[in-house]
Amino acid sequence: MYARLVRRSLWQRKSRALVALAALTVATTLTAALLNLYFDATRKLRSEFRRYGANLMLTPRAAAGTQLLEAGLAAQLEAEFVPAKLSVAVPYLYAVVEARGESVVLAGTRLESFARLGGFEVEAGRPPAGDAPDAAWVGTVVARRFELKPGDSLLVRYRDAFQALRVEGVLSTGAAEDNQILAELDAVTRLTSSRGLNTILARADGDAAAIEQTAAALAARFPAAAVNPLRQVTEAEFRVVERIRWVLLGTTLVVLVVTGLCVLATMTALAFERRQTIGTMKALGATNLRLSLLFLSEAAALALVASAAGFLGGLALARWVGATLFAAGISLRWTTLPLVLAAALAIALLGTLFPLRLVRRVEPAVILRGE
Amino acid sequence: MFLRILKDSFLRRRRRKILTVAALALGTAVTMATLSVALDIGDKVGRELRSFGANILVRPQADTLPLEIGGVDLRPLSEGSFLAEDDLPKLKRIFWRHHLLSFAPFLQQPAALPGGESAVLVGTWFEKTLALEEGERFVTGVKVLNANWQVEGAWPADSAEPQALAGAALAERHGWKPGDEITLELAGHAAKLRVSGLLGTGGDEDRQIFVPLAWLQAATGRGKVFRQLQISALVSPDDEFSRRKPGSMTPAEFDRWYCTPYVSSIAHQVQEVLPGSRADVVRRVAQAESAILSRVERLLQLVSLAALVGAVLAVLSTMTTTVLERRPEIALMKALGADSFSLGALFLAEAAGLGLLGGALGYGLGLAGAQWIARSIFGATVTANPVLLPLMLGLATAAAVVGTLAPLRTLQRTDPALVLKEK
Repeated sequence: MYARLVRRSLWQRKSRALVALAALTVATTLTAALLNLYFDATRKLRSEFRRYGANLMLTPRAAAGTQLLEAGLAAQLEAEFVPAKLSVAVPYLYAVVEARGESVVLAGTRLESFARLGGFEVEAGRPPAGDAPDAAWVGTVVARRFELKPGDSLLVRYRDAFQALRVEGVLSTGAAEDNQILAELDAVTRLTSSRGLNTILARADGDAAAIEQTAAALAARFPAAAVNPLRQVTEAEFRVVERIRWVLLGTTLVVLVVTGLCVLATMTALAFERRQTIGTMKALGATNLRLSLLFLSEAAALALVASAAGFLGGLALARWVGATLFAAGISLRWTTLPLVLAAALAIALLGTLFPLRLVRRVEPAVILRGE
Repeated sequence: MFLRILKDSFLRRRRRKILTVAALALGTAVTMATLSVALDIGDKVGRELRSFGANILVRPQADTLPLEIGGVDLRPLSEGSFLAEDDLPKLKRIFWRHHLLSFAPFLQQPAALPGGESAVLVGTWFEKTLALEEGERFVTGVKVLNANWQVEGAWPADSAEPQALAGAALAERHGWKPGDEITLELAGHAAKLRVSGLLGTGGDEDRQIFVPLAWLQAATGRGKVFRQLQISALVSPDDEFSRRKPGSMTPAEFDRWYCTPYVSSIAHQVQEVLPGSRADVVRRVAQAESAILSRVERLLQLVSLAALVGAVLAVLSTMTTTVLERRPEIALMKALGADSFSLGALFLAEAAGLGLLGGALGYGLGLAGAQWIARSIFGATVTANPVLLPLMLGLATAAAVVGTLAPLRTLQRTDPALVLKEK
């Protein structure tokens, strides 16, 4: 009987119920979409900060008395810490060599890791890769000076040893690499008969605290190396990400609250129309409690339907947005469903406050008389 | 007569009118707030991203090949070219001068510490005030360029005083503390420096000693020169257009590129104005900045769109219910002989009035909201865009009018007798 009452009351005056449902669904759709977007956008934005490159630097510890890091360190780092704690580790071995009668810096590195760290643009040829042992990439200044282009060969001399390199590409970085020749680490190690590395640049994942932890773990594991977080990068990243997150959260909340308020206003206005119905029901013997429960059930029913519709709609919307914005689907969070439901219930129930007040105030005789 | 009915209608049913204006104002306010923030976010986040360091690097054009390892240039000092320090104020004359947030020149000199160990001295500006034309003053230097460099102790002054900022790793090894005096040998003679502070960045700077440029130039007898200039410029994100080579553009396209603050066009302008220089974009910083800026701007635009859609729909539903509420009134007016046109005109005038009022209120509220967001998060104000006021008023009025006319049309078709009998 009760359920029939609720259904009946919603079904009659369909236009009224539909308007309320529509308003509520708009609120829930926006809530679902914006919440999903907020949670995922901050994660996606954080990953964009990877482009800033290294945030950890390993150098030989002066106290240990060595000028170089141990040669095998890079491999150990790669095996034990990548990709769990570090997303990439790039070793460097430098040597000042002679090429075409001039001194130039030759940097030996793992070209594949170097390519992953990024921070360069390929001006000519192909991106750095570790496929050929004598492949080399030159900086724009070097290329201009020696008039090199992809496909040229370059002979470099280190003391008594020679190495023939083939230029595979020209890179521009706006930093030291513009003046250097990059080659595979093994080739440079062989040429210089070196026993070690000058430095290792690495990128640690996570926030500032996680980076400090990773740095401490590395320092403990490799006591001969001085491990330093690059403060400028880590601190700036933390602050900027936090600011962006707050802006997103702030604007999202503002949109949601105001949408909710407008929906509330709609529902309150709709309820005002029902004074006659309330009067009639009271004249027929309905108690205040009965009427209040009726209105609350109506609101709950509306909220449930609107939540379901809104959640699905919001998810679809957020998916589409994620695809256009990040060129990758955003992951959908089922945790937003209870939030959406809570928001819908809150608005719907608040919207019944006015009719509930009416319920108490209305005198059947006065209303039915037509005032 | 029309006006009298209109005025009467406005003054009656105050509560309903207030509710309607409130809905309109809130809807406008949220659209205005998010739109203001979205329009300004590029500037705000762009400035924040400058804390990652310089995005343009300037070096001499006709130079021998720098031998740079770990931030140290190993070339003998007699080799290579330099740039003139006196040319630097010209930077504040380029088209995008207000986007040059800071810059600092660098000159390196190897030195020998007692014990034979070599160290590198880096002469630079710390926090120098440049007096520009028209009485403007511009403060720049490494302290401004790298706003989050932490110094234990004090920054050296930009005079020719022998003060130094020592790198933390170097200081730790030699046991230097702020206030200590160190002796070193450079360019063939001994020099004393007072360590005013220690610098710890985690990078190459930890192994260098920073001194005032003026002192280094005097100590080495070089004249007013430098070898490298780092610039921090506020830029727009890169897009397809900015990636083209300037040489391949038509004159009109070149003007458009020149007049947009892309990092490449600002670098081009810097190179134009500093004689003998070559300005390069620091790829690592510029690429990240561009990607983050464009994503953030797009995100905020989407939030604004969501706000607009939500506001419009909520306003429409509010207006619809208001009109639905007035069915008896409409029926009565029709029964008394009002034709559809005057009825429509009355409601339209009412809606337009409410829309304008709500829109104006919403504009004010929204602007206040945007200012509050900007101030509490970025500590800066939002630049008010004058085109937003007529836009918001127009939107609110349009939403109010459409929200009224649509249900009105449906209601007009009902028979007055039926409605009046219902009551």
